This record gives sequence, structure tokens and C-alpha cells, in this order.
Amino acid sequence: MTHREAEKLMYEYVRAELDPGQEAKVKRHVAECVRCQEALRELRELLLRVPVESVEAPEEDTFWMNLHEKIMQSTAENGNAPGRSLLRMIGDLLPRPALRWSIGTGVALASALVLILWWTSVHRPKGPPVETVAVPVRSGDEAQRYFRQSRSLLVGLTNMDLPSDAAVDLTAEQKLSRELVLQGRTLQLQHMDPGSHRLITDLDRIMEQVSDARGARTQPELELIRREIRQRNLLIKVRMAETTLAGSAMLRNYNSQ
Amino acid sequence: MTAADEKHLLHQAKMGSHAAFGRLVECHMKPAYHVAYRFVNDRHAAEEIVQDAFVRAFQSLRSFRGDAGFGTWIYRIVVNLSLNQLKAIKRGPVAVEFPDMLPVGSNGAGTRENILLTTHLNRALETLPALQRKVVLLRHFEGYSTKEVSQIIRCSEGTVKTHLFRGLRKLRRTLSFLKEETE
Repeated sequence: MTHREAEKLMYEYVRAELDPGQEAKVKRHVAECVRCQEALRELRELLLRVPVESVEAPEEDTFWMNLHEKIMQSTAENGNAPGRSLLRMIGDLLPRPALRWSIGTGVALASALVLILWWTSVHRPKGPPVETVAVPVRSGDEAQRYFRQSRSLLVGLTNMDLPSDAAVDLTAEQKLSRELVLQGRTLQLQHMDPGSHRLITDLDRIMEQVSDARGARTQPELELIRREIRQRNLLIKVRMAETTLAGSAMLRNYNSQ
Repeated sequence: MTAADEKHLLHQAKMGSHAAFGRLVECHMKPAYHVAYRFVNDRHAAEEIVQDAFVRAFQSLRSFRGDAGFGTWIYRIVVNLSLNQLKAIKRGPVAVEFPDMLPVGSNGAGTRENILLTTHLNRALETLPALQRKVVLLRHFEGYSTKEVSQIIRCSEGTVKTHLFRGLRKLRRTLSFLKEETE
């Protein structure tokens, strides 16, 4: 084994990550090589003195939730929607260059014809204006409101101070939870995508726990609810649902203009 | 999330599903943030880098062939953006100044010694050439395997091992005053 080979394996050797065969080779080389003995000593020393500390990353859910939201907003605003371009898909469908030319000429002629038809229709005398009626998409608005209120409730529960010796008054949260249970079930009766349907079911479970008949909750009971919110990543999912709905609403408005 | 799940989400995202992309973001934003923070040592800068990286990934989804995992791809973007950010802030070699000798005591986290040690370590890391810094941060500090690092920075595993050894040796020499103090 050469110096260079030994150096390459030195880090894994110190951390005992080599397979027995490689480890034996490095060990043999180091035993005979003063330069590698020195390198090994230095490396061991460094790894002992410089502990690998975890990054000072924020623990709170709200930080990650906000970051997620920012990313999704940025991608919605700045990201070009992926998906294959029409030209590329057409290009892929065309097998031979000669055929591509003939089809290209055909497409150009057809485009010219469409242009002429459009020109004549635009310059035709105009009749009375056609009245358009904007139809509000109620289920989208209701879903947005449902997710917004659910998020407020979850954020409130997650950030609530918990006194260890006294029960927590949840009267306001219970009232909102009961309303949200009804709203969620109404939404589920409408046409929904499976992801939103599942999310509402998960939220429904939390709301049911919160809106339990008793007015106050002990600290461990509330902690259980919080844990479920965290484990199911509900805050992030609700944010995502809100972002998706907001995107759809923007698209609807754009198309209706 | 399994590799199959990720592939499925990636396919949906490529077809234009924003929600599927959101799931990918959810799974990879924390490790991506950790990597960015390791490089730039600043919470806001790391946040911006992660945000920028995902936007770029979203814009280039169509060209992503999926040879490596989505995570590998996004960490590669994060590493490159982090280094660009550092370049933009500091042009030319970094002058490393060590104000006082550092007494190395117990490894208790959060002690004055450890905070100082982290500061000195970050300064020493800044003196490494870009490739060595990438390898040392990803392999040693972030704990990625040699193979993963080679995929993230697009080089052979042999190159990763060589640069890891050289980078750590240089760190050891830059931080040699730690040893002198304790002797």
C-alpha cells in the first residue's frame, strides 16, 4: 500500500469504518511508515478536539412551517410550471427529419388559415355585447376558510402555555372545533381530492379530541393532542393545502378575466 | 419516505403537481437547511439559500433525469449556492485572526470554550479551498457517506477521500494553537 492509498483510507480507519481486509492493510502500512504514523496521530488528535456538534437549527414547528410556506410561495411566483412543453412533445412524436419538414409545412399552412379566419372574425361588424356572469366557486372559498381557521386553532394549541398544576380552559377552542368538525364533514361530502379528504379526516380527529364535553383539560391531555399534531405534520399539511387552494383561486380569477 | 414514494412524487411534480413538490420540500428542507447553515453560519442566509435552491429545482424539474436522488440533487444546489454566497461576501483569501489562545476543557455544549471553539473552527473552515470545505463539511460534519458526498459534489469517491484527508490535515494545522495551549 502506498502513502496516497493509506491517506485516502485514514479517516475511515480512525473511525473504524473500514472492512477488516482494508483495515489490516492500513494497519500494516502505518506500522512501517513514519509519515503515516504522524498523519494518523494528527488526525486522531483533531477528531478528538473538534467535536461534531449539530447545527444550531430551530426546533420550533413555526419556523419550518414558515420556511415551507415561503418556498411554496416562491415556487408559485417564480417557478415555471414543469411539465413537458408542447413543442418538445410534438418533436418527440415525429420520427424522421423528412417527415418533420412535411408536417412542419402543413402546420404552417394550417396556422395561416387560422390567422385569416381570426382576422375576418375580428373585423366583422359587432353585435350587442354578450353578458357574462361570474359564478363564485363556493366550495373553494369554504375550504380556504376551513383550512385557515384550522391553522389558527392548531397554532394556538401548539403555542399555548401549559401550567403544570392547573387545568387549561379550552372553551373558545372547543367552540371553534365543533364548528370546524361540521364544516369539515360538509366539505368531505363535496367533490374533493383524496389528499384533502385525508387531511380533513386527520383534522377531524384532533377537533373531536379538543371539543370533548369537558370545559378544561389537564396538561398531559393537551400534550397528547399536541403530539398528534406534530407527529402527523398537520400544520405543514394545512399550510400546503392553503397554498394549493390559493394557487387554484388565482388561476380561477385569471381564467375568468 | 421510500425511494419509490420519492420517485412517484417526483413524477407527479414533473407533471405539474405543486402539492407533490410540496411533499418533496417537506422531506428535504431540514437537511438542506443544515447543509446551508454549515456553510454560511447564518440563519437568514441559510433560509434564503434553501428557498432559492428549491425554486431553482422546481424550475429545472423537467431537466432532472433522476440518476441520483432528489435529495442529492437539492443538496448539490444548496452547496453551490452557499459557496456562491460566501464568494459574494468575501472576495479573495480570508485573513484568519485568532484573538486569544483557546483553553480546551470539557466538551460540554454551550460553554464559553465550546462557543469559542466553534468560532475558531468556522474561521479555519473558511480557509480551506472550496472542494476541501465541501467534502469536510458534508462527510465529517453532516455525516453523509463517501458515496453520497461523491454524488452531491459530482466527483469520484477517491477524490472525496483524498480531499477529506487533505482538508482535515489543513484544519489540524490551522487549529494547532489549540494543542499548544493545552500542552
